[in-house]
Amino acid sequence: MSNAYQVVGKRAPLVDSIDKVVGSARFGADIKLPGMLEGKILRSPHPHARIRYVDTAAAEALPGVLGVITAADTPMVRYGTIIPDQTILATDKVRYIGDEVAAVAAVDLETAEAALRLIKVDYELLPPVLDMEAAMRDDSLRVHNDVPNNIADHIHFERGDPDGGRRDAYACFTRRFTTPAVHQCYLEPNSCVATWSENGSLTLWAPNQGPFAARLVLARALVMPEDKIRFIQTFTGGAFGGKTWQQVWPITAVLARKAGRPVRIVLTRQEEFEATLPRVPMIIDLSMGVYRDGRLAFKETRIMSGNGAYSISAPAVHYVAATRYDSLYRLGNIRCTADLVYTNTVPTGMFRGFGNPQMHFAGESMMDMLAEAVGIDPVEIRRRNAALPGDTSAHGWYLGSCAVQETIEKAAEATDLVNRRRGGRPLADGKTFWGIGMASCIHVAGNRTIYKPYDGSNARVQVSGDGSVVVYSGEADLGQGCRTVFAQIAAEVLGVPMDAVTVAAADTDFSPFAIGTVASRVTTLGGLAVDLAAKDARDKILAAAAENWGVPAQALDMENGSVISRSHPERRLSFPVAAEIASDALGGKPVIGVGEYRTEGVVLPDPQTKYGNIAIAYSFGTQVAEVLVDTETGRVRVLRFVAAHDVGRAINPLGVEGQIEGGIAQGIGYALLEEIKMDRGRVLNPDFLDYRIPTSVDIPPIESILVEPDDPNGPFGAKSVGETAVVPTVAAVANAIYDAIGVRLTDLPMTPDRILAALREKRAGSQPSSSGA
Amino acid sequence: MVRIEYVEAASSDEVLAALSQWGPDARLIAGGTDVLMDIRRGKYTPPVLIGITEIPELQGIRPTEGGLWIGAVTTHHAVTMSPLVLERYPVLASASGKVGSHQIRNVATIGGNICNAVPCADTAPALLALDAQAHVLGPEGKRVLPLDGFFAGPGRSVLARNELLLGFVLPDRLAGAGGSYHKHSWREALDIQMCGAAVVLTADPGDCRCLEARIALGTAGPVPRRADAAEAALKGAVVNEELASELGRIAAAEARPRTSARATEEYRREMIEVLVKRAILDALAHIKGARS
Repeated sequence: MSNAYQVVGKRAPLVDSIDKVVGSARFGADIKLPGMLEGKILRSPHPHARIRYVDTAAAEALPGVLGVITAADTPMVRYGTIIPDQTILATDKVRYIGDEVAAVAAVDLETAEAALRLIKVDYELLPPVLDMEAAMRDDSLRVHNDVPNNIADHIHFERGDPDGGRRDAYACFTRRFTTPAVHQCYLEPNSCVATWSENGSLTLWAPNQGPFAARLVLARALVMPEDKIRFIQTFTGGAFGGKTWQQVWPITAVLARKAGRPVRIVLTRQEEFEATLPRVPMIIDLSMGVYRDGRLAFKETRIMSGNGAYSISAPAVHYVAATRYDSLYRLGNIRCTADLVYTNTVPTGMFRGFGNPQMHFAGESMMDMLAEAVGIDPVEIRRRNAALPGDTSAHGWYLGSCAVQETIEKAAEATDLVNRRRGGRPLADGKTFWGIGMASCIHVAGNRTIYKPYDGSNARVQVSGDGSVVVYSGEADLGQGCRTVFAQIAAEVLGVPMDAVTVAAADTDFSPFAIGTVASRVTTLGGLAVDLAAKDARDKILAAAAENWGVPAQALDMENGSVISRSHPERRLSFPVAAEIASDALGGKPVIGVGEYRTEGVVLPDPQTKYGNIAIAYSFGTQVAEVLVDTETGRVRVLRFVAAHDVGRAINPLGVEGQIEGGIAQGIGYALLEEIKMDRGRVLNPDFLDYRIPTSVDIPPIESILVEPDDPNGPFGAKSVGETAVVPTVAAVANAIYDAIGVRLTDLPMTPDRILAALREKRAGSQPSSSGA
Repeated sequence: MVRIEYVEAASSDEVLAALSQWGPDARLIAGGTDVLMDIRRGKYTPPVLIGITEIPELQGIRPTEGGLWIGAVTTHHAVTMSPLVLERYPVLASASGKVGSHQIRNVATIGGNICNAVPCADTAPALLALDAQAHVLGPEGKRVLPLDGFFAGPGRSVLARNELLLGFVLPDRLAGAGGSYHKHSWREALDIQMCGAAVVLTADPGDCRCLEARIALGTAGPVPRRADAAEAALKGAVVNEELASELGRIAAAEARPRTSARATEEYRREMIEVLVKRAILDALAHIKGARS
């Protein structure tokens, strides 16, 4: 897209990429403090048990051990991101294999590990609650004694007339879709370094997605004032939702206080798989119908979401699964019932897409089934139903910009999808089948529900007398590139080159308050705050220059990094000179621009009906997958992906493409390979040998098509892409498999043995092909 | 803190001396890609690791009496790139090339792959199908034993604790025979086998009648094994697609795979059928290609 901007819209390599490549970036585990001890956590080996006693005497007596903590050393209050159902260490019961029971700080790791083995815990074993459907029965044992039926959250809402839609539908289907828990598999494991000062204030370093949000929950857990806690975000080696909350933070803090020394805990990969927060697994019973003309008649959904043993952010994930997909299309008749269910398994949480990929897998599979039933192609059914700009959806979402139609058309055009569909015909060898499939998606740019009191973002832009610029934001760069985007926005507004701009790390002592990197909100909301702050700094510089020249401020403007006189454009000051004048006028202080962006037109949705516009902008996309299925082995190879995404204006197209490619890679793993396998609450594959993510040779060429309508609200018209990129991927692969071999896979991952089993069922004639209303 | 001694042996005699000095818990280490993982996982804690990669006797790929010598500490990378292996026994180069990743193939050795004796060792079916002879040195001197019979159980070989594998000899008789190794795994790279099949056969180039045949399977039982019944049915028969399918079924029927968290017995058996069929057809194509 052509634009009049100098920096925005240009392909910018990430500003911190060199630090990462040469190894000078300091990640969580790189933090070392004088006198620092190493910590290890003792975890429950049982999925469900009452703790009779914990005896730490032998561990404490081991030479080299400086601190051992159990629940008794913690405030023992219940806290949580949304539902207060957690404690720092297990008090009465352990609720999953991996639940934290005690922790040890010692002079080295080996000593800490040896001390763990010396802690005696007397457990009274309880039958584990493992199956969601069984857990919801009245006679089920409870994971939390005060939660009947193990239901952590229940959602029910209706829009329009779903029964009427079902009655009038020309065709409809009902299917059960299941999705497993999958792990974010960020390369950097979670870690924390904590230290206390004599006056009782706490400093923590940890990779995370928003130090302010983390501090808020930490203050509740530790029962101490927020401002006594300084939370510093280290370089973060990927997060994908998995670093918004981690138990290792309060545990390290309590351990450091007990030991009287700084403590570091770095989780092992096994701990990551067994005891961090993977994607919420879901069982989705979906009914959808269409009228004869291919318009959607209704959608009715019953969802069971696996909360695991504690809630963290799963209630929000579950709400997204229940609602978000519905605004992709002009769909009026909706009924949804959803339950979030406790079981004695690893607590689940947020993972890129936040419940949305789960529902899109079901919904976008269903769209292809409905298209076939009315005899139109997958492109046409989406085109006929897709939302349009200016629409207010069934949930009250206002789509200020919406180019989903264009993404459908561009993705279809680039792949010639309509003409290349195979409809289950084999290739020449009779055993290999090629197929092509499409899926569209909607996602948000920000979400009002993330932080109850407020939605927005804040930034400071500091311009020193030498013309150098520092941006302060509390929003976190996880590797996705918001530092680069912020630098681009500030450079654009001030008219300076990008390398004149530094973006400071997020630190609760110095950064302006921020909600954090969730809900694909940071480029949009964080970017708006940086835009405002840079404009404020610019205006202050212009005012100082005007005073210096003895003219009114309105007579001056900023152009290509210079202050110019509107009436006499030959009169100009270079940016550093103007900055010096402004700084001198302040007695040598830097110029501080302040940006406080607060969303308008978004609301907290009604707690019962969930109605209300939650975001200032919505992003869309359509992806097309091409696959090869070997019907003798059941193996699926993805050959090509084309992804057309409506991202608003791309501030950094290089970064956008990186997000799309990464999202698709993660989606291919979710579609074909990944699953945290469990047996009676135990994770069977807690390592990269048996938890397989795709390697570079499993990922096909990916072609990104950026569709860039200027959004009326976003900074420079920008929206979001970070999570959107993974939302339709699984469904695109499922639809391509269907096109190849004519079988509809409804359980993830779509493994070779499942594909062979589905083919066998089809040959036996037992695969359901259609159903009446 | 765990302390493990390390001894770098300069000759096979030094290895034997160290083994007798340190006793049965000592461990030999070459590439270390299995040994170090096992130690880290607490599977065993040897008092000493005896390094063997610098011993000239255990190195190299060279013609020897009756066949091709491949030293035990030859890395998979070296096997994969060896012109001698590629020319005479391409099935082995293919199998070595499917082990782990580049990084692993650069350090892991073919002797280690066999002595570790897991059912999913990629080079085991290829070496079994090539009638490899294992050359072993012990206090009593050298002995030569066929690889068929080398594996005693999952993770166990017939080597005594005080013996050292020197290398393998692949027979001249099978140099240039048709061969193929098929590995089934979940993804395209960096993966262990769900199951594997290697086929080596010689056939009359005229009517494709099989003269000699070896079919070996990985992860089809507690140890890598030959598919005897399928081999017997192949020998003397005219090799074609129909026969290949039939042999796949025979091999699947005689295989003894098990259900694990990785795959079910049923699915593994189905895959053995497919892999054997495909490997036979590839081996046949290899023979036909050599003829034309």
